[in-house]
Amino acid sequence: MSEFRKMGFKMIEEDSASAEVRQLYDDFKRNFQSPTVPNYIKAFGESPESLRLYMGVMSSVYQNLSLPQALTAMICFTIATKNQCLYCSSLHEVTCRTLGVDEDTLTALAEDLNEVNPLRIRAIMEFAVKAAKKSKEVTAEDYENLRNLGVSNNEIMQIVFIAGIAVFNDILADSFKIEVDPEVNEALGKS
Amino acid sequence: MKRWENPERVRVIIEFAVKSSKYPQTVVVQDFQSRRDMGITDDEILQIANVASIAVYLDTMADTFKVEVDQEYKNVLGQ
Repeated sequence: MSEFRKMGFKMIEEDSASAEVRQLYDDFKRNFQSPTVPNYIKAFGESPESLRLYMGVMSSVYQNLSLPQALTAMICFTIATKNQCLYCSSLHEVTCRTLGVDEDTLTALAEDLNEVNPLRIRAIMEFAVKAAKKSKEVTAEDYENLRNLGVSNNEIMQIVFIAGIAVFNDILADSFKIEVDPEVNEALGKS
Repeated sequence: MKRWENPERVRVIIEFAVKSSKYPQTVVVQDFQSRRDMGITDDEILQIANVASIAVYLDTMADTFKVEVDQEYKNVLGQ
């Protein structure tokens, strides 16, 4: 039995979902171009209100961000790794790989940000992790450091936004012990 | 008394929200079961966790950017 089910929740599959929830699942697949409904979404199947709230947030994120997708995925992967969120780190690792992030960079993001290159990407990752984990400790120097590397205020704001969303996702996945989707494990060679 | 006016019920909801938002990996089955025993539904628990996560997201944004408290809010709080 999955950890999520041990917590007493029901993973609502597509064929047993109410008409309202099935419509939301269909919206998810269409809006996120996903062939399947992931566990993270099915976990909210008992609460259409939560599902609508979550999908509203995530749809808005992906419709409005102008940061490169690979950079966004790298930020989410790095923060999920630092938060030791298995569900999110696995999902974002697959996204990073799909978007062409190389092996050395993935290892550096997970294990040692000092090894991330180029410097601009390393600075963005360090800043995003600081915003996610120690937001009160972010200083004017942190912002100036990014600006000196050519990162605009618009980009900085989007980086913080993504860092906040990454934490938001890590909390939900870890609180409910949502299991990594079999498709994700398969893509990572863990099945 | 309405369901949401029960102070014990509100207390355990807030405790769960804080635990899930600050220490999500330490949330265990008893945290959920004790809420269910108080009549809190799974639908409500999922919504509470969503709100708690949104709160952390907003805290992250506000603290990272050092956003000042609006004067109108300070006035209401007598600050």
